[in-house]
Amino acid sequence: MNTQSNALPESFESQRIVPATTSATRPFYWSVRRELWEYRSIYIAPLAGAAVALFGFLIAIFVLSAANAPQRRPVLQDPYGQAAALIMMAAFIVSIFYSLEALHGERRDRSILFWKSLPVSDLTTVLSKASIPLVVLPLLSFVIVVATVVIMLLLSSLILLGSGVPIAAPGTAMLGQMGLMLLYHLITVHVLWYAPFYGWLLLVSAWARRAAFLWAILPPVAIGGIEKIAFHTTYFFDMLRYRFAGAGPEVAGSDNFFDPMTHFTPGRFLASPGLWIGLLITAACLAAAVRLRRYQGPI
Amino acid sequence: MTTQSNAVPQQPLDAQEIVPVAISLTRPLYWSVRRELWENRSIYIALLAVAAVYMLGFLISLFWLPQSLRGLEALHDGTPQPISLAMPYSHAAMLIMVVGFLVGIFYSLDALHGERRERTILFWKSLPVSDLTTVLAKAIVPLAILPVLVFAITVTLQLIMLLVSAAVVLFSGAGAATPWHPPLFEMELVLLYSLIVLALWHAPLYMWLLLVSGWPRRATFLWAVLPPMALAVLEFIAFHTSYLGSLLQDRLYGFAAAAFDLKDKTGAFIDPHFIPLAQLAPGRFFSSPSLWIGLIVAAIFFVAAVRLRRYQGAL
Repeated sequence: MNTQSNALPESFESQRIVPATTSATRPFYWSVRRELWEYRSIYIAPLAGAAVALFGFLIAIFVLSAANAPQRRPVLQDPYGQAAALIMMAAFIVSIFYSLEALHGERRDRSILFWKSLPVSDLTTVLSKASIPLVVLPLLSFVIVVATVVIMLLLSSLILLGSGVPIAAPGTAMLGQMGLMLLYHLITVHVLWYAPFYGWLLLVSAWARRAAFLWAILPPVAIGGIEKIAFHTTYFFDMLRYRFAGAGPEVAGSDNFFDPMTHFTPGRFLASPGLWIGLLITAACLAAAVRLRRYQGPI
Repeated sequence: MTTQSNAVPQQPLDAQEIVPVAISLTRPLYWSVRRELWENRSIYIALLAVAAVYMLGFLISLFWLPQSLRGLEALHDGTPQPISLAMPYSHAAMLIMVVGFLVGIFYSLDALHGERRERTILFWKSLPVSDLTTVLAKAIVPLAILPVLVFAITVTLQLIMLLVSAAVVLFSGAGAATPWHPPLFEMELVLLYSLIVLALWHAPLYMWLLLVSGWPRRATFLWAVLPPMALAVLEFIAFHTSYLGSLLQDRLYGFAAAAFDLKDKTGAFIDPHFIPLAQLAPGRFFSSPSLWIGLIVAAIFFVAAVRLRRYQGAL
């Protein structure tokens, strides 16, 4: 409750009287804030990706400002997909790095002693850490991608206006469709489908004393290897590859995800057993991570 | 000098004050490498663990060995089938090489960062060991120690596998007519060559990771991965070319095309499970400019890492 009163100085009088009414979500909210303070790369990396994409787009505009209009069209339309891919890729790498570091870093720098002294349960802490790759980063990358694409559209329509070509840039309707597609992609693939990866990484980071990276990678490699040599099958590697490839057939009817004509198939995605098995594995990993954090001290 | 005398107690106690100058230059390097092995036991534990796990899988697979040998006998009229016989052995080598690569990456990314993070750099810098020696010892681990370890562990594992399957063949009586083991000696030579090729080809990669581990205060992994990726995408968006992207890809697995003749005399692609000695192309590899450019880049990264360590303190 001390954190509470520190964070909300205006409720100074009420803290003795109504400590029981502190809502359950306040510690969670501040735990997420704590993660964002501690790991600034969570927002810096996607923002840097957006800056790089915009910079490249500016160079492309200047390089091609001398070209004639028909050549200009594809040049000015591709970079949206590229920018989105770069930002999402940066967010994905940050998610992996963060999940592997989240429960290990606080043990390594002994700050776990302080954080455990607060009246915040292990469940709240682990859930707030899990919410970074599962909620915060997808939301952040969505917002950053949309902002980047809007800035690019403004720039390109300025260029098109300046060169006297009638405006044929993708209009607001297409922009809305792209945003919808992006949101669908982020929720289905990056959150729901990749959730077991993040759960596993969080579990490893709660457990390994050192070399968390090796502990995360080597057991799956060893299991796949032992299966291959002992039974001459590759079910485990196939499963991992299928999981990593991102549920293409379940998510959308077409192979090319960035094709605007792609029709979404959320029903098929939600009905696929792989999704629910993955979510069960995620829940099991997170429950194990909560238990582990209870008994782990500084390293 | 204290470390020296502690480590070598058989040295006469009187002599240590008289001949400190005579300590050879390689002694600090030797003990620095020993220090790395003490600190990062995952260097050999990971390799040994994977070898043990693989051995377990191989033991399970032995139940099928007589059966499959009889199948081979029935299928082929005594012609040697080096690829199917070599399969378990080359899988063992590949698995241990992949794990060695992963350990090398993880180690390099942590080498100069770990000692700053846990503040042991204050102690290590207080010793009369130069930054050059320390960084050199850390560079030697992925470039020399790990390949040697991978080679030794793989050869040992393959010999044990050979002995165990010889026992199975002997007791089951199957496969007496067909050869039941691959040309193992040839395979070890190819393995040695591949390890040398890999170490030289991936040297700039390891040195880049070492440089990154000496530089940012946190999130070394992100600093190592994101800048090259961002530059490659920047190039693609700005100029619609992907020279940097293909350069990075080539650095990761271009060694295969550079160091081996991928097609045999008949023009068919060779099977990576069994590469005959005739397919090695050391002449072409050691005269390829990209190898030497890569080594120069590695040297630049190395020098930068040495300079950085001088000015870096504990985090």
